[in-house]
Amino acid sequence: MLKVSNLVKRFGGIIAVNDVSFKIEKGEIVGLIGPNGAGKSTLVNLISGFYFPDSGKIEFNGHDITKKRMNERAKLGIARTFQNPRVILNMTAHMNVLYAILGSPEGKKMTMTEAGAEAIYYLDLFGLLKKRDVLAGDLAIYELRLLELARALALKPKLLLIDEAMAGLNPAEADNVSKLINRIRKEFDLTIIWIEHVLKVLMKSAERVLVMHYGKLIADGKPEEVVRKPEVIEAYIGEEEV
Amino acid sequence: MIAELSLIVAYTFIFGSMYLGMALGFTITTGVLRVFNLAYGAIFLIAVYGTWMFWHDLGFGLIESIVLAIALVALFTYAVYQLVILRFAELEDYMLAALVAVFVIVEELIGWAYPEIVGVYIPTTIYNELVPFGEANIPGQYVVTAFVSLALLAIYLLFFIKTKNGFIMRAISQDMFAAKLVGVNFNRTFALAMIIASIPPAIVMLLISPIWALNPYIGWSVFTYAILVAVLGGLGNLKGSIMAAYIIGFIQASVGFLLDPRLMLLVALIVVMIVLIIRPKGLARAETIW
Ligand SMILES: Nc1ncnc2c1ncn2[C@@H]1O[C@H](COP(=O)(O)OP(=O)(O)OP(=O)(O)O)[C@@H](O)[C@H]1O
Ligand SMILES: [Mg+2]
Repeated sequence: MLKVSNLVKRFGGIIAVNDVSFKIEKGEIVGLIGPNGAGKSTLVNLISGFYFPDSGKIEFNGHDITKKRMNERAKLGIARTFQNPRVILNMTAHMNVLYAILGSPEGKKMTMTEAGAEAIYYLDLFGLLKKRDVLAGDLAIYELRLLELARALALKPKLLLIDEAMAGLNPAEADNVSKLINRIRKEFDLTIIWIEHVLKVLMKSAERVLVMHYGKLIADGKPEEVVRKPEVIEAYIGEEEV
Repeated sequence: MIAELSLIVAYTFIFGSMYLGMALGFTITTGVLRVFNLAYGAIFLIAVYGTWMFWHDLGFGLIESIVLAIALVALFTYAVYQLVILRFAELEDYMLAALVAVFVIVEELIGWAYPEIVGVYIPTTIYNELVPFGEANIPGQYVVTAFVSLALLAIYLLFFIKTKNGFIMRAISQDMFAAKLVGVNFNRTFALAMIIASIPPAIVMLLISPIWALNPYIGWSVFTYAILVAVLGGLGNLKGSIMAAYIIGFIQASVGFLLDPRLMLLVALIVVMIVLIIRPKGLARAETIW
């Protein structure tokens, strides 16, 4: 479904993503881990079209999307969340999701009322019904993460890119988010790339893990195999927990 | 004094509403596209001289001519979007220069085709009687223009609040980035915003033209009011524009009736400058259209 070949992205002297290649099949849930500054977010930014690569190629369902813009990729079915939630702060939770629906190809055919009802459905799915009329700017970080997931799902994506859904959450909240992600994966038949700084969270959910270090992909395999690799252990030396 | 008071109240309403109608489209373009459309002034000219051309030169009926002129305005605005704004999207200073150039070209063309001595007059008077207000009598056409402006405002607010396209425009005006994220087709939304923005100034200009003497250079003075309202209101915010329009209307009415009509524009300009020195971002708090 997704094929990334020899992707390179430089920021000045830093090579944030250095010759990364991998393939993801439909229905997979792939964890992406690595220490701070490893290039995880940059990789997701390249796949979602937030940045363009300096070289390399990105294919999605057989189409070369390397040069496609972010909104075109969204239409093809690539949705994402952000490490630092990026929602419209001056609009309510409901309007944020409504807006995503109206932007989607199906949304074009819906009336405002239909799209509004659908937005409610997605808010409810993530337990945000009570917050529907709260301005996104007034939501807590946990609610913002849920809102971003609701918005991403409302785009009816095929591939969902999650950039740190757990950061800043307490264990109970993190657990809940993780359950929700597993649930929507099954219900909506999603393929997921899920970045998390800490591997522990992904061990349960991901069937496959990619590890990045200094922009390079240093491991790719089953979680329990990957954590035993010397390169991975080395990359994480100095980090508190793996 | 009572008579002056009536006049000031009445003309605050009339000028305020009229300036609001003239500035409406400018505020929409600034709010949705974040583009300072300096070719906007040409719309006023194309509306009236276009109507004159179709009606007087080409022999169409008056109503048909007005419809055709408004279509011409929309076409012109769409061309400005495709040929100037899109082309220069990454080069803002060149874009502004190009937009001014477009305005001046239209102005010169019209000045050449219809020099001032031609005496262009379009009979769009809808109500010719005097309307009594307290001690004052107000020309009916002014009242018509003010109410049509308010009706346009109401229609556009409904559009922004109730319709899909309006909602999408509002969201873009709040956060362009978030809009890209959900796959909104920018080009289409922007083109649509440009076109709907070009209609109110055309209509208001047509209604006011029997009262104001038309000349090919009137675009600048009308455009000055649109910019004053938009800048004082806080660029691209309709609530701010509404406040600003009536403040400017009030200043103009007060200066016109209590001081000297020849100072009306000057005092308004000075007051706006002072407000902007104190609040550089204008009256509105939010950088959004509504
Ligand atoms: N827009 C940018 N401009 C300049 N440098 C950048 C930019 N984005 C990322 N970088 C740099 O690229 C490298 C990779 O950053 P990236 O955000 O992809 O890491 P990450 O793995 O997501 O880290 P974290 O776990 O902290 O989120 C870092 O050195 C970072 O400073
Ligand atoms: Mg990151």
